[in-house]
Amino acid sequence: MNPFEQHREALDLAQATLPDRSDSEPLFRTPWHARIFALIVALVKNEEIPWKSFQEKLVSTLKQHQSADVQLTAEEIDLQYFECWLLAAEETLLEAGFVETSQVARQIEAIRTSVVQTRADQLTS
Amino acid sequence: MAKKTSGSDDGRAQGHHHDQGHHHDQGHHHDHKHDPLEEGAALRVRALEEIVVAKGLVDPEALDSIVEYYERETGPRNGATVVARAWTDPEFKDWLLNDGTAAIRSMGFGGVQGEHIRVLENTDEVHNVVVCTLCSCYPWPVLGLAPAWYKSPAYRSRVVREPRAVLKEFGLEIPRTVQLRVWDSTAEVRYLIMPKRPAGTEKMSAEELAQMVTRDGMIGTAAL
Repeated sequence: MNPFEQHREALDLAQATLPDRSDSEPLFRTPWHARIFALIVALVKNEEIPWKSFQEKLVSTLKQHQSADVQLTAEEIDLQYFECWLLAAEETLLEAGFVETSQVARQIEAIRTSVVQTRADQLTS
Repeated sequence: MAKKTSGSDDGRAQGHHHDQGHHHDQGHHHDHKHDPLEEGAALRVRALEEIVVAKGLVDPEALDSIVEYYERETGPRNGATVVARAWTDPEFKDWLLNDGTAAIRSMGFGGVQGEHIRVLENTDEVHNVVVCTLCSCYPWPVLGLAPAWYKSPAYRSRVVREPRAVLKEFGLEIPRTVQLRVWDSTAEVRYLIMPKRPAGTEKMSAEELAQMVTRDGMIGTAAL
């Protein structure tokens, strides 16, 4: 048996016990996962926030939201993980004074309005 | 790879449909097309991004290039190239094991989460495996983003308590005669495992060898 086949066998065994753990797993399952990931990476690269302060918030959010006793699928793990990432990002941005809660709420409303408007325009044009 | 999303269209995210439970209601299935939480998250992210961009804290093009970088350019292939070079170049191997950060950087791989990378060699006597018990610290520049199971609470808690049992579930049986070391990544130090070079590969080039190095091999959950 050549090493490729040996590995294939190990991979198959592993896949039987841990669902969906192949190399073809998507990095980001929804567009917003990619956006919030990139936003934090960009802020760290620009030295606007220290990685450690974000990471500490991520750790505590994961602690609150994840339980080791529950069997989760790969997709469930990713969805939980990025929700925690988003919560930690929001906390980091608030703490750094980059955003305010009311400002975010207003921005969300503005986006909603413009999306509704765009859709209405598409239907009538 | 075809399942990857480009990450630029919030309109699409709003119509996104998934039928997997998430942590607020595990085990339940969503049948409705517009998951309000999903829509809420996409909107929250877009609002945050717009505010932060408007304040000049980040450049929107930089955001796009980060997404592209992680989706296309990084991934376990970078790590595989590093490992294959170490297998074929003893001087580089010494450097890699003594100062992984610098040796890896010299090959052009570096970034936010990869600032301190320690490389550990698997041998006939010692098998190393990596975890991040607290979150999912991972050497992104060389391995790409962590696979879902690496982020799972089950792996994070169990591999420390019962590493042999967990590795066995991965299809990897470590004999009792081999010492097993579990390394817990932190925000400061990430680990990359240099797997044992498979037997019978003496005549292979570094490029050919790189093809044999897998992501799980470099986490320590698989042999090659």
